[in-house]
Amino acid sequence: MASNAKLSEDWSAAPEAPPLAYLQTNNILRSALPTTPSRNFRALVTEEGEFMGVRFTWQRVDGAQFPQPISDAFSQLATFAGLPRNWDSYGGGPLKQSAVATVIELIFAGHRQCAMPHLHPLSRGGVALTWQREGRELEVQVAGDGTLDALFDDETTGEEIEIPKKSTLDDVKPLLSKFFG
Amino acid sequence: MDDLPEWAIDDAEIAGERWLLRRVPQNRVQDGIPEKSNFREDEAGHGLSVTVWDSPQDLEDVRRDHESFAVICVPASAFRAEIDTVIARAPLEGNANHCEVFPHYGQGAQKRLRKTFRWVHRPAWLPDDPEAELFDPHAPAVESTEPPEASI
Repeated sequence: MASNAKLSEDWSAAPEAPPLAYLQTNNILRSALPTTPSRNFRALVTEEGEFMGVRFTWQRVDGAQFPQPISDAFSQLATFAGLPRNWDSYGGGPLKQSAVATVIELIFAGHRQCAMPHLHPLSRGGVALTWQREGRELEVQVAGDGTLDALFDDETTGEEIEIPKKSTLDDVKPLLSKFFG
Repeated sequence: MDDLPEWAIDDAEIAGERWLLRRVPQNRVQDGIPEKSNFREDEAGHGLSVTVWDSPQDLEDVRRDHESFAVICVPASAFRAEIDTVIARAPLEGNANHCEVFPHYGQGAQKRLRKTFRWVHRPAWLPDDPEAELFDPHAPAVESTEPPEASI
């Protein structure tokens, strides 16, 4: 079943840019995360992708290839989608389509910050995404129904911020900004 | 508590230093440490599955048909430290001490529970870790091999 969710992503492979720093904007999370301004005079081709019924678009700039880390993440998600019933021995099920759009948004958001998350499956069709950087950790758990919760943890300061279950992406944005800012 | 089913009656005797067993799949271990999501349950009407480790039989029950899984344990006191915890007996065929723990914990509680875990069974897929000792509260106490101090 196709989802109504539509994600947009533009990127270019600027030769002088640091590795993976070329994702430009994301229309959904633009307000939450810092972005790099686009360069002018580039060959832009809009392309579409689809993963588990979630469609997304991106700008292929100067022939840039789809980012390998994102392809790798999709491969992992495909593995989660293929998990057998009771894979965790406690009645766990495969990745649910209702979680996928949110998970992809978070993967894009992390990639724009040169930080691909570690992914692991949750029992009831969700996915946990974990980023670690300089003593800080952010884990976002996307439940099978697409709702989220998060925990930001800074070992150096002892600061811990928790966003409770059944929250939305908007609720989690401030923690993304705090972690990546 | 909105996710507590009627059948779930707290057994207050499951407390303190009684240990609760839980299986851990390979895809929920990162860098040799169980992910905190091993303490997450979302299913309405169901709590987190654990088994009270009262005897060696309980560990056999937990591992039966799931030999490839790691097994950890957490003291009941760690669950009791969380607000509104209910540990309800929910015996299964071949797993008489099976319980379900409510409520559905958020990540803060999951993290606190993980801090208290001890390894019970480490399958071959786990990386070697000399500091990861196996824990067994039912193992006979090892007598000291040191000679007794001479009395003067």
